Amino acid sequence: MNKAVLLYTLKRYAHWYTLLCWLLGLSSFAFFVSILLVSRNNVTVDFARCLLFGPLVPILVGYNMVVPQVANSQLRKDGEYLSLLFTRPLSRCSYVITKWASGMLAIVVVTILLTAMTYGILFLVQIVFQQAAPENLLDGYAVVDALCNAIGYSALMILISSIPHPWGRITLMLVIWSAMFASSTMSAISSLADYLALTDVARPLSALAQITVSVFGVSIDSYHIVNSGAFPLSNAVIFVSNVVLYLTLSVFIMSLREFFYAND
Amino acid sequence: MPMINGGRTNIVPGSLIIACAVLMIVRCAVICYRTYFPAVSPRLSIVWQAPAELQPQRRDLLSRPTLYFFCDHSHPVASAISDLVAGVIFNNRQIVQYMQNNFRLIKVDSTSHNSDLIAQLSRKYHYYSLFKVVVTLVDGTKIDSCDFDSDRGFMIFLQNAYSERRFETAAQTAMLDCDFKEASDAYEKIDPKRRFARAPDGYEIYWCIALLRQHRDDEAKQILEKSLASYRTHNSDDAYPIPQIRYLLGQLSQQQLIDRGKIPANYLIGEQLMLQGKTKQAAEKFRLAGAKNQSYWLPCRLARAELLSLGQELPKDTDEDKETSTTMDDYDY
Repeated sequence: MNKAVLLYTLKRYAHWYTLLCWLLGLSSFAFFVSILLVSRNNVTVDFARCLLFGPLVPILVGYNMVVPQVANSQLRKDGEYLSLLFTRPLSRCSYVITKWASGMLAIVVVTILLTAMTYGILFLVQIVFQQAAPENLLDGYAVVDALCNAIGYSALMILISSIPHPWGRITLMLVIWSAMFASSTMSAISSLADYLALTDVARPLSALAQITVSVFGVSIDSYHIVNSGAFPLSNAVIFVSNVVLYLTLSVFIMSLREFFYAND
Repeated sequence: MPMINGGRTNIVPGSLIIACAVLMIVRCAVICYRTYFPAVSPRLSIVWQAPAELQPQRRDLLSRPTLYFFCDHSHPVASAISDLVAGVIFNNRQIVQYMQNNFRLIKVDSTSHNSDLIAQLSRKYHYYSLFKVVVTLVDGTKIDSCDFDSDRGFMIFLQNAYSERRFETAAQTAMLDCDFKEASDAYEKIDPKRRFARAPDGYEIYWCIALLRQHRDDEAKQILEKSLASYRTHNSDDAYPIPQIRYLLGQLSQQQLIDRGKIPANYLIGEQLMLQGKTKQAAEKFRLAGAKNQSYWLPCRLARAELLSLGQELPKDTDEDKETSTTMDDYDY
């Protein structure tokens, strides 16, 4: 961990204008979520829960926090901030871990703020319209989901941001989506093979599909993990393995990159 | 020439690589284990009973309710959709446990051999195709139904049906049967927090009538005073059910009550007259309350039920009534 990188990454948002923009954005988001919750329909409450504790907030916040272009407060082209940084004796691993930690911290803070704002709005609604807030929103599962998503998605975002060229990042995203599509196709084929009693084909295909999709499936839904019939420990192993894999790949990619301050 | 000494700063730590490799191996092993030795799905542990004839004569309304799972295996598409939806909700251990502990589970497969009974159940509970879950009282009165939901939503549906709507439905059904003991027992079981948190529904009125008919006046008065205070915090004095409660507490006259709504007023006055032993006058009031067949409205249905229990004829429905008349099952009251 590098204290300077951590403080810089977080402190560059401490400008009043940036904070105001974030606050307005978060308030609008919380207002939208509150509308969904006030309807008290199971589908909208599920959706609101997914918006609050699901992958959307970690992806948006994590990306903003760790991508170097955005990290550069002067909005210079990619490499400027890093080339300044890596002229110092700073290990790439330390940089990656610090960025990961700052991403996590920011996601957790934003999630807490959003939840507090949503409950604040719901409290006002309760006072004015006597419409009680849903009781099943903020529970242990929600807290676990929020924490796991903060850990997982900030690691995935740092992997994506470590790719040097913007097109490289887009390509990685496409690879992720293609792999997910391929794995779902494989699952379908394995289901068909299972239906046709071709167990020898179905099981290896199913295992391969799961291994492929699990590399990109960093999202956690603890409620389903705990209550499903599947082996719950496997999800925990996959999650930890993914986080370590993303960090290792990020360090590896960063260590291959070279930064030339003189070229700018 | 690179400006960074690669030997010092851009090295990938060996511990990270080893941890990554070990976790990848464990991951592959876990997934292969999960594939070749799959855990038993909670869905398979559900013991479904075959559908049986409805027993509308049963009066133990608070006993274990019935959960009907309607599914369709008449053609491959319907079968696939039914199985998919069932897979989403019945592969949840919590749901399966809750169902097994609290409900009598009956599977109604449209392709099963007992087609008359299946058709009768499908008609009664408005099942047409694919998938539906219906929760009923032991006598077959519908409590609630669900066509499709996520497993989280389905769990909420089950909890609401079992611990809230079941008692409301049982209480109303018992009131319609003039079984006041069963009705007051059912009303008593509704969670007070939930009852007072909802929009004004006035269940306390019927609960009190059930108590008054059993000569439990003190309990009735206590409930009325408590609910009046609760309703008054959020509503004006003329809003339902405040005048009705005040009438039962003796704070309003008959005329003042009638000015605020005729059907519930006539029903409540009829009940007061019944308590005073004035059966004939009570029947007249019930006839007024049940004159227009608004079967979705509880006071009207209760007035008609009272007329039947008194051995009186029901007021004749007009043609308009017949057209607009609906049954209890048409409304999620």
